[in-house]
Amino acid sequence: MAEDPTIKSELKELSATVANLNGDTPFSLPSSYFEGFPQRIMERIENETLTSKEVVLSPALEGLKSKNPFEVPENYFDEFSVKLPSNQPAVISINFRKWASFAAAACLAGFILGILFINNKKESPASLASNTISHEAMETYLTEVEAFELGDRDSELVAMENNTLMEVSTLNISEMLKDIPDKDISRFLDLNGFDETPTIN
Amino acid sequence: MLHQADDNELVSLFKQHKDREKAFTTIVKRYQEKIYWQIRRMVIRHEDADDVMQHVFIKAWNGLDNFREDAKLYTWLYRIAVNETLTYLEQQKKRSSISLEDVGEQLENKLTSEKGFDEKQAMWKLQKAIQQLPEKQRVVFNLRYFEEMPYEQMSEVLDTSVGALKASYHHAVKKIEDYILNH
Repeated sequence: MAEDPTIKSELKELSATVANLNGDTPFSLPSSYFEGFPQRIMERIENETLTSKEVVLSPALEGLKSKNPFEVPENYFDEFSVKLPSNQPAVISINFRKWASFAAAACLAGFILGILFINNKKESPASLASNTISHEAMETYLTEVEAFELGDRDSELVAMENNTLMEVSTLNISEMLKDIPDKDISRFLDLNGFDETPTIN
Repeated sequence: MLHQADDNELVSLFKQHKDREKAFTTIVKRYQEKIYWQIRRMVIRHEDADDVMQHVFIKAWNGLDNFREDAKLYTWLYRIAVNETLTYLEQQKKRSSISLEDVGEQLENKLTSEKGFDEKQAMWKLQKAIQQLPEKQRVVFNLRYFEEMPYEQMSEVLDTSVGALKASYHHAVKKIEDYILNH
């Protein structure tokens, strides 16, 4: 609570309520706190001073790192070469018979590999097919498939005999098949290798 | 005998490295309570206040060689204390990742868990009211109300104009009055 008359009167002018409050600070603190604080702080300062002195030493050592007192003869590194030891191992010579048999084996391996390579180069049915189908037909086919995928899903693409695709709605397919007996449909599926497992439309 | 020396004499002894530790210890003993309570009213908990106070005096030890004796030592120490306190509160905020509103609530919780807290007592109510203030306004109120610091000295401590400080103090008093009347 303010004792200074100037501050007291200022406070009264601003707020009589606040001016009349008990302005004591209610916080408690450990007994003898202030008696012991100066010594604690001096001990801490001493510890930190010692630590900082150790840090001062390191920069000096760091500074010496790049300084090299040793001398090297002139052009030493330019003329440096490795002298190999004189006791080289003896060269082992292979006799003619052994050399000839190695050569023959290598030729045979090469021939077999060649045969295999040639066989693999034979074109796959897909690549053969692509050689006989014109670019225009291929392009038309792919365009139709793409348009179909972006469009209505309630239809099927049916391949026709003349290599064209016809879009047939699921409803139309059902209509077309309703007059055909089930046993005929089953026989057709068996002959053509289709699975009879029903699909959900 | 050192305890009778004035601030300038103590600073002079410190700078000349004559009984440096004794001179500084005298300074600590002279101002520790005022500095402590200024910090404590801001941070509430004793352990936090002790922590901040140690930082304050370590900074003072490190900076006293460069202290210009045209300024008052007490003002200079207070300035360090205010800066260290505000830095501490800012760090607490970042550590907890809490908003400004939550900081007020956190300080209020610290207050209510203080030993002997009694909301009915006027001095506790006043402390609760003070915690509602923004940090810098809280500093201004505490310095004027509890420390009875002149605005001119406060201006040196906070590096703010006298006019701004007067306005800040007046607003603080009004807010505290409002809180007291409505709680």
